[in-house]
This record gives sequence, C-alpha cells and structure tokens, in this order.
Amino acid sequence: MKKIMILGLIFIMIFAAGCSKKAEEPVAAASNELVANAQEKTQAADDAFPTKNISGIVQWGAGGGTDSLMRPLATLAEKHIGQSIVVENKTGGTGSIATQYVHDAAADGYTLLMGAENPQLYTMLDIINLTYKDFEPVIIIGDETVGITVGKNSKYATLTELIDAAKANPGTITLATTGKGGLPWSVASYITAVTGATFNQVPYDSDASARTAVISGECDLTVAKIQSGLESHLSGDWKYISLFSKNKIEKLEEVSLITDDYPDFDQFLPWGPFYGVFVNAGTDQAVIDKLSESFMAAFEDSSYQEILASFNINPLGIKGEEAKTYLKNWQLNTAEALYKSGSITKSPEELGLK
Amino acid sequence: MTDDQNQLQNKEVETIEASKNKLKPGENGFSLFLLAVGLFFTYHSLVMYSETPGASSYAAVPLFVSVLVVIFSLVNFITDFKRSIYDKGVSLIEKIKQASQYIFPKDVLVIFSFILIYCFLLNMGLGFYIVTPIFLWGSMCYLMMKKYLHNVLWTALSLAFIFIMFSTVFKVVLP
Amino acid sequence: MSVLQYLLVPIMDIHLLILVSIGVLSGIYIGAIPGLSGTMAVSLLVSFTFGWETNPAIALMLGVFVGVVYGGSRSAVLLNIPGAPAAVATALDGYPMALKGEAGRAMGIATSQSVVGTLIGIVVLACFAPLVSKLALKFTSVDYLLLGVMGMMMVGSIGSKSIFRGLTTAAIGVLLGTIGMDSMTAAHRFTFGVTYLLPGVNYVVAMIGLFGIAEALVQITTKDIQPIKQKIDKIVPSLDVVKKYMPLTVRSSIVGVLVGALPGAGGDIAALLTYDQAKRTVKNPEVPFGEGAVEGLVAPEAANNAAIGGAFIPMLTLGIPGDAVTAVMIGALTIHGLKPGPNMMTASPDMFYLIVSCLFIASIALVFFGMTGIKIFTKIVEIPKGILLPIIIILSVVGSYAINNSLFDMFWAIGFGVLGYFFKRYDYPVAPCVLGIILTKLLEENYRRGILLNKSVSGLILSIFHSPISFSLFALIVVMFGTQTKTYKKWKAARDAKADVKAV
Repeated sequence: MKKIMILGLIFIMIFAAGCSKKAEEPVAAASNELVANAQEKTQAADDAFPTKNISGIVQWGAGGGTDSLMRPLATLAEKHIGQSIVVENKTGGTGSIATQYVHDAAADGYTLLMGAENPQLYTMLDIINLTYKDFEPVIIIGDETVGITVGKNSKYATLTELIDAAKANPGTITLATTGKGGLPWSVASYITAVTGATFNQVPYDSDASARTAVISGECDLTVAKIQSGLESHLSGDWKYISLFSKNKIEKLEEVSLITDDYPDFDQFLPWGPFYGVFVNAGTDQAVIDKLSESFMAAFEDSSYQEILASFNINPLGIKGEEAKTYLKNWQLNTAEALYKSGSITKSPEELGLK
Repeated sequence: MTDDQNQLQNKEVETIEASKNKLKPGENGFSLFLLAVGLFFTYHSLVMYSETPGASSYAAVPLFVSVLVVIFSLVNFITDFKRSIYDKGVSLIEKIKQASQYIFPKDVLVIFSFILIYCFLLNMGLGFYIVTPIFLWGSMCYLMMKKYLHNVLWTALSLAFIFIMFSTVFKVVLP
Repeated sequence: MSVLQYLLVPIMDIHLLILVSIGVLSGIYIGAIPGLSGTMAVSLLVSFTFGWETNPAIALMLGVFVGVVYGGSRSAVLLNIPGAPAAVATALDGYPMALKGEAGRAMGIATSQSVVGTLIGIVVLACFAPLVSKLALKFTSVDYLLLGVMGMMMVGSIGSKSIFRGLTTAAIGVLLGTIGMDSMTAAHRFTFGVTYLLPGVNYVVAMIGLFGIAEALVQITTKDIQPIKQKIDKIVPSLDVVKKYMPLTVRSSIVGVLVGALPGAGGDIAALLTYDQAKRTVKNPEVPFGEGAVEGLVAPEAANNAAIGGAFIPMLTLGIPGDAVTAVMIGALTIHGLKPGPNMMTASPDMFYLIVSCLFIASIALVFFGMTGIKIFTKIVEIPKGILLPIIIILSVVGSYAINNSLFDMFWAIGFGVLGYFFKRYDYPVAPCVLGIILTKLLEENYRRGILLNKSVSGLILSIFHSPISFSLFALIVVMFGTQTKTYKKWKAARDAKADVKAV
C-alpha cells in the first residue's frame, strides 16, 4: 500500500513537471494526436487536409543553418494551416537519411522534407538513388552567398595569390572541408574546373569545425556561408578574400568578387546553398497547393523576413514550376562544374540531367 | 603477522583466485564467437582497404581494429583454454548443454521471446499503446507469479508516465 | 559597475527566476529518462519560445540544459542506464552503490558535487573566457587524437578478469563505431546495402542496449533476490563530506571546464577522463573503484557539470559551439536577432552576463530540486524486480525509439541488449564497448586529419614533438600507461611494503 502511494506521488510530481512545460498548444496537440493515432495512417487527400499533425523532417542537426531556418517557418506556417507542424531532426549521410525516410513515408502530405541543397548531389556521389526530382517543392526559401576565407595571419591576401601558390605546389595548400558533397568540396571543384588549382582537402564534421580549423591556423582556407563567417570576419579572427558572387555583397563591400579575379566563373554564377520544404512526389496537387499557400504566407511574415535578414539569406520564396526550374538549373550547373574538374566521374548526360 | 597466519591468508587468496578463474559454461565458446566476428570484419576491411589503400583511407581504422579483435579474442581463447584443462572429463555435448542452461535459463528465454513477439507485433503495425500493455502485464505476471491485479496498476502507471513524457511533452509520435 | 548591473538582471526579475527554476526541474526529469536528450529538449524549446522575448527564452533553455546534464546521473545510479554518454562513468560506481543500498547517499553526493562543478565552470566562464578560448584554439587534430587515446586508456581502469577482455570489447566498440557512411569520404562501410545503417550506430542506442536492457536481462536470473532496503538517512552530505572530496572535485571541474571549452570535445569525454584520473590518483578509496567508490561518482559528475560553463566559452567568444546543446542555442540566439560570435561580448555584453547569471541561478535551483526528489527516486530501486525489469525494458525501448523516431533503433537497442547480456554473463566488461563507440569519431577523424595534414604516419608522430600541448598530452599518456604495467605495480608494492616495515 505504501509503495503504491509513493508511486502515486512520483506520478504526480512528474505530471506537475510535465504540466509546467505544457502551454495551451501542446495540450491541444496531445488530444489531436490521440485522435490521429486512432485514425488510418494513410489518408487520401481530401478538402479537409490537414486533419492531423504534420511532421517536418530536417536533414541537418539542431541549431544548424537549415534547422534554424525551418523551425520559425514551421511555427508561423502552423497558424495558417491549422495543425501542428512537429519539427524533428534526422541527421546523417549528408542528409540522405532524412531524404530516404520521407521518400519511404506515404505521399499524403503529412511528412515534409526540410532540407538544403545536398540532395541534388546524391546520385552524382553514389550516396543514395534519390534527388529532389523524386519530390515536389512546397517552397524554396532562399539561397545564400558563400565566400573563400583565410585565417587572420594568412600570407595570402588575395585569391590570385592563393591559387598561384596552389598551382605552384599542388597539394600543399590545405582546405578545410565538411566532407565529400559539402559546400567547401563543391566550391573547390568549381575552382579546379576554372583555374586548375587543387588543394589538400582535410574534412571536418561541420562548418563550425572547419571555421575553427582555419581560425586556429590548422588549415589555410575554407569556404564559408556569409551567415557562418560574417561575425568572425568583422571581428578580425579571419577574413573573406573572395566572394562567390557576381554582385557586391552589402556587408562585405570591400571584399573582391571571384569574377573580378577570374571572369570565367561568370558562367556558373549565381550559385549557393539553398533551403526548401518538399513533399513526396505523387502527393495530391490540392494538398501541395494548400501546403505552399501556408508556407508562403509564413515566409512573407515580417518576423520571418527579419530572421532571413539576420542569417544573410537571399530570400526567394518560390514554389511550383518556378521552383522546379530553379532546382534543375542548380543541379545541372553544379554537375557540369563537378564533372569538368574531375570531382565526379559520371557526366551530366549519363546522370540524365540534361 | 606470524608465518602461519600469513600462510592461511595466502591460501584464502588462492582459493578466491581459483574460483574467480573458473570459467562459466560456454565462455570459451564465446571467445571463439568473438574471434569469428573479428575475422568477418577483417575480411571486409581488407576488401575495402584493397580499393583505397593508405594510412588515411577510410578502411585503415576498421582494418586495424578488426585485426585487434582477432588478436585479443585469440589471446582470450588460449589463456582460457589453459585454465579450463581441469574440466577435461566432460564431453562436448555435455558442455554445450551446460552452456545453454547457463546462458539461457528458463526465465530469460521466456522474457526474451516476449520481447521478440513484442517487436514482431509492433512491426506489423499493431500500435504502441496496444502491444506495450500486453507485454508489460504479461512479463510482470510471469516474473512475479500471479498478482494479476497488482500488475494491471503498475502497467497503467507506466503507460501514463510514458504517455505524458514522450507523447505530450516531446510530441514523439509512437508507432 | 555595469557588469554588476547586468549580472543582477535575472536575479531581480522574478519572471526569469521562475523560468530558470522550471527549466532545471524539467531538465532533471528529462535527463533522467534514457533516450530523451538535452539537445532534443532545447531544440523543441527553440520552436516553443519562438514568439517570446529573448531573455525569458534563453533563461528557460539554460535551466533545462543544467538540469539535463545533472539528470543523466539519476538513471545511471538507479537503473544502470546512463541518460547521456557523460553519465557512463557515473554508472560504473553509482549503480554498485545503489545495489548496496546507498543510492540516496550516491545521489546526494552527485548533486552537491555537480553544483560545485557547475559553479566552478561559471566562474571560469565569467572571468577567463577569452583566455581559455585562446588556449582552446591551440588544440590541433593531433591533440584531439591524444585526448581520445587518453579516454581509451580508461579501459585499463575497468576491472575485469584480464585486461584482454576489456581490450576485446573496446576494439569491438570501435569497430561498431565505424559502421555507416564515413563522414569524411561518403564511403559506405559495413552497410551491406542497408540504408538504415548509413548514419551508423547511434551511441545512445548502444548505451541503452548495452547498459540498460542487458542489465535487465541479467537481473532476470536473480529476480527473486530482494532488492536491498535503501538507507535514506544520509542523503544530504554534511559539510565535512563535501570538504573531504573537494580537492578531487576541483581538479575534475578544472579538467571539465577545459575539455568542455574545446570545440571538438564535451562533457562526456571530460567525465571519462576524470573518472580515470580519479582512479589513478586516489590512494586508498574506502571501497575499490567499480564496486561503489564515492570518488568514482564525484569526479565525473563534477566534470560534466563544469563542462557546461566550458561549452559556453567558445560559443560566446567565437561563435563556435562547445557541444551539441550550445549549437542549438547559437541558432536560438540568432533567431532572436543576436549575433553570437566574437563581437557578442562587446556588442551585447548584457547577454553574456545574463547567461552567466542564469547559470548561477540554475545551480542554486539544482541544489534545491536535486536534493528534494532523491528520497522518492530511491524507492524506485526497491520496486520488486519482477515489476521493475519489464518497465526498464519498455522504457529503454521507447527511449531508443524516441531518439530518431525510428523502429529500427529500437531493434538495435534490443540487439545490443542481447550482446551486452552475453558480455555480462561471461565476464566481459561492457563499459569499454560503449567507450569505443563513443570515442570512435574523435579518434578516427582526428587521426585521419592528422595524417592528411602531416602527409604520413611518421609525420603525424613527429608533429607531437612540435607543439607543447601535444607533447604534454603525450607525456601524460606515457605516464598513465607506465603506471598500469605489472612491473610498475610490483615496484610500487615492494616500495609500500618497505615503508610499512619501516613504520613498524
């Protein structure tokens, strides 16, 4: 008897702890979920979409660039779509785990893929046999500009110096990368394709680690998104020496553009990582439209635009056919450069991209 | 301390050591199993390594470590084999029987099959909130020998706890 | 004087005080449940507090962070299931203490030393952040590799029939850690075409299986043995007790802050290193390590809490996360319009001191909430095994599912449970296996980076002698290794015997 009472006490305490974190929303979500669990899992899309919680699967880790863009967007979109959008992270395999997971789920609009640009490279790199071609875009949020960075004590003040040194002694200049298929690796392929310079590539596990490596001097350079590198540049811990863009960047006006030094890059620009929300191909068009509508409304919200600005994202806010064209061009563009530099062995034709 | 007392103490330590050294049934077989695992991984690592040789290759560490597993399990096997010599009289079949009794006593076997059934049902899509209470109640009853009503209470309590913590607070969608 | 003003902000604001306290309380329970991690909790809070003002949002997150790090020790001590990798070391001595009826005392000491550790971490953060971050930046890949090796040396500390058994399980652990897609080259290793295996073996899943489920299965064989009645009289440690362990606590905390401040390592490595360090340096523990030595509880708990303060150092001075939770917080701060990075201390010093202050409040809350729940928690160990074991199994199973919403993880945990069961029944120590899985990434990635940067294995070894940090770490490893060998032990025993004779 005593034991049961004590257990009851534990139960109440835990309940109280759980309660303190509960606000109105989770309670509503809980009752929704109960209803949802009792319903059929695969639901034919009907005018009442959505009738239960939607799952947003983020390809990358919590707190990272992709995650930080998706969580606020989902919170805002919830209000327009009328159901909770539960965001979770399924990391691994350069985002392929999440991609496969969403692909394997039912094409009913209740499982969203929230990802970055990496899926467009999967077939080229033999990671998995899926790309965004196997999905329908709900919204493409935006893309960002990246640049080449070196440590504050680096002896290379301009990109030309760096590239000349790399060509003079191939394999001596160290480039911190985030692994095959990551941003620095891709840009390095572009550089090889246009200038012929190669680097000694040292992989790290995130762009933060790559940044640490360059700041500490362990590596000579890396490629960083403006959002991750701006603050360190402004404080002098490292510096951008060239921006991968055709146009001047607002906060980095003094940094030269890559096309200033090497006009041949012009054919590949604009290029940069992008972020978007997708559903499985084969999802009912009405469902996709409803999702796009809500996410676009969330996107246009001024608080979200502020967030985009603080992350230095170039807002795009495109959907439907416009989005698909963007995805296709990005992929073709990248594949051509990667093939030309020898980073991938299959040509764009072989991959079916042309 | 006198010599006699010393001797007595040493003898005590010896017997404790001896009992510690006694092998559990099937132990030697287990080190063989680990050896096999090591060999399996060594083979695959070699295949990978032949594709990309080099100290920084992705196959370098797996190869190194799987070889270590092989070496260490061999050492284990050999040192244990020496110790188990005083078990010589027992036949192999008898040893296997002893081992399976040791490693799979009835209770463990039953609970383990409960777990397997649980996984199977869950995989079939039967729903977490249905299969779990069955498992909980069933295993509690088996382990506690009767006390059915008592166990229903515990089952309910645990499920409520899981529901609150996981479903509500963390919005984990249980299968 | 403005620093003082900033520090007082949350203390003056009752709203923030309450939020931090709620955070700590929830954090403790979240951390105590295997499978629910601090990273999960804090990232959910990011969505939850999106519309809030910055200060309340951060206050809540900080409270949860502190609570979760401490909470992992609860399930480690009571159920032998570490709630987080940092609690693996805690389980090694904490659980034996629980089995002997001293769970209350164990948790009480864990609480008090965790608080001390947190406070030390906060002090270092507040006063020496820029200095420590400069030091942290000097760590290169080789140094991380050496740290990983030091962590692995803990295998020698874990008692077992023969050191080769520990080495075998450790090697198996590292091998399991290599399964999956290699992050550096995208190559598939040991996946045999199964997509699910691409992210590799999740170490939390492995922990839950090897420690939790395996232990539950083993205990079925002893289910009729009545659990020992827990002594609940000595829960809150007296001041003397706290003082007695203070030198060890301070030492472990300092290691904890420093390791936490390294961007590439966090509280879990700190806990493992200090456990090992404690084992080697404590001369005559009342109880041998591995069977319920209090020192084996004090060191890792102090270290992993001190690492909290440490993790904020690179985050607030460089914008580089010190661990997974601070990575989420960087995202949160950016969403709220702040720019965590090198400029934050000059551009928004109020946020820096707000964080310091909230962490301080969280430590106080920890004392209160930590000590009050213990009596009830200890009752858990007294639940008859027939009821407790199925609950543990289900909890482990749900926990492993919850990490990534994946049924496969659940099956893996059970698989690990079976493996662990075999290990335990045949006297193979389980901890080195978990150690191997946790440390594989640190060891392998830094080893390969070292090779890539130095062009060859010999280049890698030579580079150790070029840097004072690398050399000191290397020297430490040599000393650690030397003191483990039989020749040293014989020499030491002979020396001690001579000292005894002289004394007589």
